[in-house]
Amino acid sequence: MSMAYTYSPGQRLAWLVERLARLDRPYLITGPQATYQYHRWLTPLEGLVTLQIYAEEVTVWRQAAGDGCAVFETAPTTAQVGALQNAIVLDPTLVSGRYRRRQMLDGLAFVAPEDLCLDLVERARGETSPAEVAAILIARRAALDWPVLLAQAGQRGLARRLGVLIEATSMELGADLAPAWFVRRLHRLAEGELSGDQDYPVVRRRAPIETYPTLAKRWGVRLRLPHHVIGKVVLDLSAHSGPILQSAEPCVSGIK
Amino acid sequence: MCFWNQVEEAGLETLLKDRLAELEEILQSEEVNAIWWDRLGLMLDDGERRMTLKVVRWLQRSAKTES
Repeated sequence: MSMAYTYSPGQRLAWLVERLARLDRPYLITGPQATYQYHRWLTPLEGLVTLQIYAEEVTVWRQAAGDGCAVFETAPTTAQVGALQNAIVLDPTLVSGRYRRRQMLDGLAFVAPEDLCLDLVERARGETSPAEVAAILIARRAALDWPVLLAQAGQRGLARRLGVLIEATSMELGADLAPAWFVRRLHRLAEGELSGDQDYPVVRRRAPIETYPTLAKRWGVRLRLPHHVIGKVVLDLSAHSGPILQSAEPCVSGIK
Repeated sequence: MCFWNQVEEAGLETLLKDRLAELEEILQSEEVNAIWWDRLGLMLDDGERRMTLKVVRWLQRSAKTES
């Protein structure tokens, strides 16, 4: 695992900067590049970027191709990308609210960490996504906009899954990851959500059932998440930045 | 010392066999694409998938013959 202490997205994605400036249209960097930007844990492929764009602007974004860069409108394969210097994958699902919440870093527009966390919570078709949610929440807990996360989790019907992941991460950390007010209000939202009959995350039947039985019951989730998934995140991030076992930051906007 | 003997000595035989079985299952299902997409933003090429599956099965077979 590589940890970049002097990481600069502008330098790392220099190949992309000029193309974005030339097109001058709204976009958000999402996917593994954005995830890495927030957790500095699992490194992304350097020459590959996923851009969330407005659906009606796909034609404009096709013009980003050229000079060793290809633009894909469906997920490419390793072989397709391996033959290229750089590649952009277009995701035409951008909506104005997400764009408003963007984070500008080195002049590049990234999906907000709160939206990204919820994308990963929602997707969770394996163990990687929950692990990356835990990593982002741990790495960004002091700077996270908890009220936005709460509001968006409620709107997207993800309170149960987010709640169980946050508390499982707290358990592995041995400290509270999220402010107490946040967990309380998230739990109230969760009680209003229908309990799903699908396993979370969606994994093979071999995966252990309800490794955090008390938490799974409290949040009404059929949790199939082995302890090592989040345990590994905690271990890696501790090795990188020293102990992370202190209490979470207090409420960022004074909401109780 | 052969690989599986070392695994056995380390007390990891059952764990590794389980993990290989899990890997085989992942590689044979759509889950592999979900994992690749979530982790890297692309899909595993079919040729690479077949090659990986071959290695996993070779390891499983060698466990059966060695142990």
